[in-house]
Amino acid sequence: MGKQMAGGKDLKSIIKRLEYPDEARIVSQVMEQQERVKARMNRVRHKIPVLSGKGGVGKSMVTVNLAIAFARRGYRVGILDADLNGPCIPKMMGISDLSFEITQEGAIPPAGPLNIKVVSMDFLVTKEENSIRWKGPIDLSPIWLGTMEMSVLREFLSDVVWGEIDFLFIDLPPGAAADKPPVIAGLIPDLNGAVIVTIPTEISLGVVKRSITYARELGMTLLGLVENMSGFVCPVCGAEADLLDGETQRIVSDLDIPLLGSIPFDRSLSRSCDRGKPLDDAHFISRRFSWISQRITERLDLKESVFEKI
Amino acid sequence: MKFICLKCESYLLYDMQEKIEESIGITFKCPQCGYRLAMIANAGETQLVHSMGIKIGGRTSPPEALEMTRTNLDEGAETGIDWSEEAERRLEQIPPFVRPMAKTGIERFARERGYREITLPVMEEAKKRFMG
Repeated sequence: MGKQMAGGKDLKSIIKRLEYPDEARIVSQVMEQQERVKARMNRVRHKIPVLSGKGGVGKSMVTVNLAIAFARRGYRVGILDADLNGPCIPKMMGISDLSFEITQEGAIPPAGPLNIKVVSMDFLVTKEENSIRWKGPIDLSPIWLGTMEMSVLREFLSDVVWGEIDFLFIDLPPGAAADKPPVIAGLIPDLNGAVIVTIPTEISLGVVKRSITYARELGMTLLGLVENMSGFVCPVCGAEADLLDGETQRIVSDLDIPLLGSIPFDRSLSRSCDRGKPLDDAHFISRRFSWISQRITERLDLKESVFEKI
Repeated sequence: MKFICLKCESYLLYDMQEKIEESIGITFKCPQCGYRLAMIANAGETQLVHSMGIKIGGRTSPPEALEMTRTNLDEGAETGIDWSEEAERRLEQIPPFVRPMAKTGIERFARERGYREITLPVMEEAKKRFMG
């Protein structure tokens, strides 16, 4: 028997008799959001995040050049620039002056060289120097800000007309173990495996090591490591020399992670990113990325064949 | 959250909502006796739910593409606080490398007290507070 309230009413028995009118439908709104992400992502064959433990190691450069390498091999490719506060993929692809086309079916993403579809926060900000700020009085609350950023990424997945895509590369923001990348990666259903980017310095390798361990603890498949700035190519004679002292090979052996390839520092690569023009496919850097892309497809094929046997 | 009309033993139904300051006011109505009740939502809670892309009170139309992102992006870095000409001139006297910090601090001070415009007296008040 429920407690009697003033007026002789018993709240418990009143509630029992009433049918709950769920006008807000909060649970179903969340479910619908998840269904929309799933429906869009079902049409993407391979979803590959590109991450690292450190900022400034060249994740975006590697993402762009991997996308180009795959597109040159005839695959349909997309890039999700998940770095919301420092988006640079559109500039590297030479399409920073474009934007989404909003239709009833969803947002049509701009396409860059080789018809690579790109989704980035950069397309929603009108001036290059503008910071990414959100409306609201509590804009400094990390909880609110985190929720907001997650929702933006969810909309990028659910509301963009990605269409049929063979490879979607996700350029994750800088951050390591307990930071955002694993959380962001958790938003995307059925990731096929991550590519880790590092540079050969003891500092970067140390942090990357933690990221690898943490990603594995989360059950994320790691396709392999790309070593950026592995050396320096002399612009005069073309000889390659060491640039930094870290031992990437040691991490590769210690953690049993494949080294997908090494990219030396090269001014023409840097220029191509700044100018938003891909390197010629005959350029030695392009050939290295082509090789890395082949290693990735081999690893994906291997993964699929292993799962088939289970 | 739901409200019950104890007289009619019926749930109050969502009637309307309006934006009040940084929060929203939601009115509920008893479908039987017409009794109306209004509540003011906590601004922080409202924003958190809104930032998840959830429409408070339920959706009446399907969401538009990138709706949450596009409607919440504050491109002009608008703070909702105006500066009087005199106050702006005084702000200019602060060395450039600390000016943004001072500006943000004064705006936060004004917002906390419900001021819409920063005038010289508001700056004085803020100064007293900052100087202890």
